[in-house]
Amino acid sequence: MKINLELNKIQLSNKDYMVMIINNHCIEKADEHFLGKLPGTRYKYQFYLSRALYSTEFLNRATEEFYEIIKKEIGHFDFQLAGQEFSSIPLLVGIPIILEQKYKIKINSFMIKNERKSYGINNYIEGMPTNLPVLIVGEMCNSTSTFLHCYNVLTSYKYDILPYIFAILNKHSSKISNATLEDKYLKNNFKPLTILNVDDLKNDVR
Amino acid sequence: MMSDDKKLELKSKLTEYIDKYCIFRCNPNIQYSPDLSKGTIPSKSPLIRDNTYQIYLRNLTHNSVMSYYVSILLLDSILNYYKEKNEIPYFQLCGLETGSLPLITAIQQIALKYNLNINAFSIRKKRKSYGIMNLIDGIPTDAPVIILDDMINSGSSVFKCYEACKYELDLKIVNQLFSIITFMNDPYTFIQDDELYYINSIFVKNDFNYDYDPEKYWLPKDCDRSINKRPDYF
Repeated sequence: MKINLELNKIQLSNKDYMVMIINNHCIEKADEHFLGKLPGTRYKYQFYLSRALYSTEFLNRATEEFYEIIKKEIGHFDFQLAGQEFSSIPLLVGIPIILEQKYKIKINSFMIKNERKSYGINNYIEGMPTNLPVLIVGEMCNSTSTFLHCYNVLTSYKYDILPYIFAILNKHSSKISNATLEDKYLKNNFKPLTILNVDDLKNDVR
Repeated sequence: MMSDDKKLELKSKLTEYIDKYCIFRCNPNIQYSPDLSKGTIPSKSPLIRDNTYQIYLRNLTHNSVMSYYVSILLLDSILNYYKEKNEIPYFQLCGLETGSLPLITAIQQIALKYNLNINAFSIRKKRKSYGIMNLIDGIPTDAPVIILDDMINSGSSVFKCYEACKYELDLKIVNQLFSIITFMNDPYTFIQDDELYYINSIFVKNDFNYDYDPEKYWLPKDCDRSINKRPDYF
């Protein structure tokens, strides 16, 4: 799995660059099927978006898109970010650093563990939440119940949550009814703000 | 390269922050766990039953300002190592999932300011149980690997990374490890496969006091046991 990622000099729009990286490096296809997460499930392909998020170029471009989407859809940055362990960490750490460097915007973030820590103070949350409302972020929506898990933990501790979620990719096609309007696990009128959806990617994963 | 004065200034700010926000010191009058004595919390290791404190460095690594300070100090330390050896800094970063990833991401971003594009990947604590059953997240290159972690205690996290890099990926591992704090003792080295590895840490255990101090006590609301946060649950 040693691939040389010398792609940062390529002049493409952010979206085109991200599509290229995901198509080339983040989709694994099986000749038969992959074993799935849930009993009885099998996958024809699987996304590995974390591969892209370890690329500084990809993360910077994703943050530029995040900035534009948030400015247009939410209109302010008076919130903090939260996401689930551990796939969201590059977004939770990278977005605040890049926003501050590029746009002078300060934003707090914290991580929600998959389950309570089994020792120490048995925390669910890593980082230091403030009183600002929370925007839940993740690498992909409509894939797993990541956003729902974050929602459940946050509501248990009475955090205000923005009625949006942010992800790099919406796994559902826009052709499916309501797919771009809600996350199938979270529902509850949370609007997914995503940079890409599966229609943007290569034919065989649509 | 950073001046010694600047390093001291950043280290002093970090010391203050860690002391106040990253060390949980048990209140001796509180029963934290039903089967432990008052003023103690469960430890990760079954060998230690009663911890009176715990370090939470993610309160630091999820803070963009503090994360910046730590990353710039670690990056400076890494670049110094190559400068002293008169070598081009050709390396990639690797760490064990949750603890090291915030640090890796921050160092990658800070390095861009110095026109350094550092590749990184992380090692999962265990292989994914579905899909391609991967142990590695990210895309390793052929560059030598520098292993880092937020805290090097027993060295088990570092060893997991070492094994994955060596046996799964067949990569060269740099004999310098980097961390924010180490609980290992002076001379901060260990031997692995006949090779001596050096731990380069910003802080060591004795830089902090771990005794209970009411002024520095904090307990997040997700850990407060005094009120049921979901009254519909009994």
